[in-house]
Amino acid sequence: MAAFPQLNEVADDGGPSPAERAAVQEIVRDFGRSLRLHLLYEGSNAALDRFVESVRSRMAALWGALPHLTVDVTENEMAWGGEAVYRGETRTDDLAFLLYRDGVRQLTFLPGFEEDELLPFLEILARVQRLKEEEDDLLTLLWDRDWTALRYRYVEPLTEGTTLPAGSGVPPRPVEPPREEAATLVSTVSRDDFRETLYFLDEGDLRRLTAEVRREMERDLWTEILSALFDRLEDGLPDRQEKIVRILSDLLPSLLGAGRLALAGTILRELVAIATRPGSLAPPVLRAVRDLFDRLAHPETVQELIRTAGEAPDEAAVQGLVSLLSFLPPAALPALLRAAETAAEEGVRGAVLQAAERLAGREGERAVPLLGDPDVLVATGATRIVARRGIGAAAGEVARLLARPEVPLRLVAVETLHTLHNASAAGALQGALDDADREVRIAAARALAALRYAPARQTLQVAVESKRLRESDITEQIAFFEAFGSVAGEEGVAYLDRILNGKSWLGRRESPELRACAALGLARAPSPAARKALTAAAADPDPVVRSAVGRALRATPS
Amino acid sequence: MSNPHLSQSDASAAGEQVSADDRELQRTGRDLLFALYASLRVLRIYPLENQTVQNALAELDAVGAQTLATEGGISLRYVGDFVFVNDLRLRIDLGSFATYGAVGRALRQHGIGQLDILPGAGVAEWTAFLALLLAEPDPENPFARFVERLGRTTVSHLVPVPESAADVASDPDDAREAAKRTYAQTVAVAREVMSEMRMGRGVSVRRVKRAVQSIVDQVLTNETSITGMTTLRDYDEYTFTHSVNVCIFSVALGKKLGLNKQQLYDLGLGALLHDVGKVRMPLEVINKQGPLTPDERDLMQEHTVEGLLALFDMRGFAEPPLRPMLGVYEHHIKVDGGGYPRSIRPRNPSLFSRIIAVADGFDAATTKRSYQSTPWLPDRVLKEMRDNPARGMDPLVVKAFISMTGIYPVGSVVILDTYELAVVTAASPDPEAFHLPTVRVIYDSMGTPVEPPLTVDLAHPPAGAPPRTIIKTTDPERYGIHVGDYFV
Repeated sequence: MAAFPQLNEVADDGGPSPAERAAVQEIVRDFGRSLRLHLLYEGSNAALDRFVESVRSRMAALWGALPHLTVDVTENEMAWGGEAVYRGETRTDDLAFLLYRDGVRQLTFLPGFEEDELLPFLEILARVQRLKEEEDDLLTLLWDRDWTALRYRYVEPLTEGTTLPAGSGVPPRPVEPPREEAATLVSTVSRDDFRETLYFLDEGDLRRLTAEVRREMERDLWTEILSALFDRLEDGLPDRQEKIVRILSDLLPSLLGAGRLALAGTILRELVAIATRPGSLAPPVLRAVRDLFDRLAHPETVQELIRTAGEAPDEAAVQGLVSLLSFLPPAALPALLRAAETAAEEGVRGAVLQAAERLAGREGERAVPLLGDPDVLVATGATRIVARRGIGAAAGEVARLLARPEVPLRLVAVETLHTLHNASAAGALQGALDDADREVRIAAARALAALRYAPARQTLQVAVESKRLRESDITEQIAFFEAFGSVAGEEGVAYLDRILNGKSWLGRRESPELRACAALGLARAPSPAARKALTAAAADPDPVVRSAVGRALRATPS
Repeated sequence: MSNPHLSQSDASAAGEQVSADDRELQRTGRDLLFALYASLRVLRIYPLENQTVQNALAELDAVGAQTLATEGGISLRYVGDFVFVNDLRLRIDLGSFATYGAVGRALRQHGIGQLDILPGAGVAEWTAFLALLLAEPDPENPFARFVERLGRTTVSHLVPVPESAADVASDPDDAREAAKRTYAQTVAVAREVMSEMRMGRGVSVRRVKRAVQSIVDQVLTNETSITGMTTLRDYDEYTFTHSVNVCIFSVALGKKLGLNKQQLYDLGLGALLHDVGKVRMPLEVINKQGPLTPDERDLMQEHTVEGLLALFDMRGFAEPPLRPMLGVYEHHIKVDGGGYPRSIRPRNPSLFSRIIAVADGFDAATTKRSYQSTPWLPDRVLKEMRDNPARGMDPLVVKAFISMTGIYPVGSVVILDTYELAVVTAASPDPEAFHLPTVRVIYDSMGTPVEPPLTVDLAHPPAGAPPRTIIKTTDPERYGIHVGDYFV
């Protein structure tokens, strides 16, 4: 009651008091304002929430004075008790016109409306503003909800111009006395004929009907509709087949958009099954099916698919995605490779990779040409496939990737060359030791170390002697020295010993960091000579060197 | 009839989102109405001191007390065909419609639209109140007279409230006018849809939706009048009127099955559009007089598939109307899988399709159309659908349909044992009086028109009048009777 303290005052003439009128006026105007806010903020905004809350409390207060609120609607205004309580300002957000246009002529709000029905009511008013001509109107939307505290009177727009059914206009005339016909029973039933047991729905019937209704509501409607379409697609009538394929083509994006991946998968599976049956589809229909699959292979489509599955990456979505991707043609490989590089969710990424592997071909042969794809993500994905499949013959193409400007791609190329494990690959890795990027250089050095590729010895020695390496960080230095040790083996011990233990008249020739690296390099060239060199430095006063030597000795068999 | 266990499952089956409190009130409200009905029934038959009566009243008192304990107060209100308990609309289904209807009629005959039950109403008050309900109502001012009688008793916790202007079942003429408007507009929409589609133009889904919603509204609130409209057999407009009739019958049956409003809409939409595929059939075949050739029959049988495809072409649905689509596609598939279209993949016709099939079969068989010059009598059609498995109808749905129409469906022309000719205008709401519908006597035993026709509820003949019964049905054409005249 706080909102309208004078609501219980009665007007002199027994009609509504000025306070009541003001209260009603305020509420109806608030409806109009709420509608505007709703439209402005599309239904979600703190200001709107506050406004709705205020309408709510105004209405709750009103029920102390009025049993219900009935408002009449005309084209330009809304009236209570014959007097206008609302006039719209513009047609676009005029509440009265909005109601009137769709046939509503009176609204009655009952106590409790403000609790659960105010917001849905406002939402419907806002929604109807946005609908297209052929879609719902206010009446159809209001009908969809079971209102308990709202009554509305409307004129039925459909009846305009409709002729109401009339009788035949033939006046009844005397007929032969029915008694004569009754003497001969021709077409009739008797109560016996419709025995009660047959007529009555007994308890068992009622239970069965209840179960039928429940089953009906649980029915998988989409599957049944699709079954119908596929049954008819198999009928072999070209015109109809064309229509059905068109419908399916239209449905596919809708289903995908709704995240119904499994259903979309069903469509594709059935299409494949039918299309691959010789003679089952007329040639133009077959072309339409192929078009559909081609469209599916478009990078944007694949990206959308991945996005859909990624939005709710549960097991079902991933399985649906696996099913869908299994229908993609080889042309979709670049799109899949690209998607695999960007998919954030592990399950989705796994599904995409699985599909990409399949499309790459048994020998991965379709991936190799994509190594040179200008799209770095495609080239990266292709490189990974070359690595997984161990396509040694592609080492040359992979090596060319080391000239690409994209660091991640060069890194993957280095890893792949390492995996390919052949001379060509190892030869290419030497080139990467001079890469502009530190990570690539380190990866190349480690790869060569792992491969123990002897021909790289000279290159590595040049690298470890280079000014660049001496100025680089300790991680890179270690990688290179270890690579040198691994590749040079016993032949490199003398060189490393010189770095570790060499002295000049000023003391040690090299910095403690470099000497530590040499010690770790010696650990990769296990031999008595290496151990001897390490032992000589075991008591080195420099803690960095001593620590590295200790590690190296532990790694070197005595 | 009582089956209290059904209420909860019905609610969930109907797929409505209801709170636990609402479900509980659905259950207790239903129990209360069943207890009220049982008490009224035994009080009508047995003296007050009979143990059956005492048990029934004790049960009523217990159910009332139980509901009061949770609700604090009970307001039982009838609005049209709807029953509200404390503003919660009770679901009416096959297991309850007769009971709810009987209680409503008992109250309404005394002008009572609402009964407020307050804590403290005991067996004694119920006994007095129900006895007054069973008394003959005052024809002039039933509510005032009832209140006056009640004032002479000690009843103070059972408060009758008169039917309000808004809640009073509308005047029969108004109800008929409303039904006529709805029927006419729906026929117009059916005509428009089919014509536009035949010409390859877009269809206003909004108009279709609105028309079906109106039919659902009419079936929910004015079933007798709207069902009566199905007797308007307009030969020239057969395709359209048939669609509307099938819609009305289907929705009425769905209502009896306890479907909610949205489900009735889906059912009605499928029913209204069940033959929409015929717009893609050649007119010369559709309008052909006499039997169809095998090729023509094969062609016509494509209408179900074409209907399904046509619905995909309709724009304006937020999403494809799948359930209606199934109804359109499956309504000629028999329960044994026969009929058409032939299914390659496993298929069991949906309940909605089976309902539409029964409604379609009934209306088609009882109507004169291009390849059926002599329509069947309604009762014969029911018998045929029930007894001939070759028709492929679902026996359970047929049974439910018959329980809705009565064995003499609305529009049947009957001869009474008085040798009067009458038209059935409403099925008896009492399942035990399924053979005693309400009729309009239109000719006396000598074949002389009765002007104006006399409306008689065969189950409840007017005081002092001899009871009448139906001895047979007859063909209206034999007497030149235009059945529809008695419904407009």
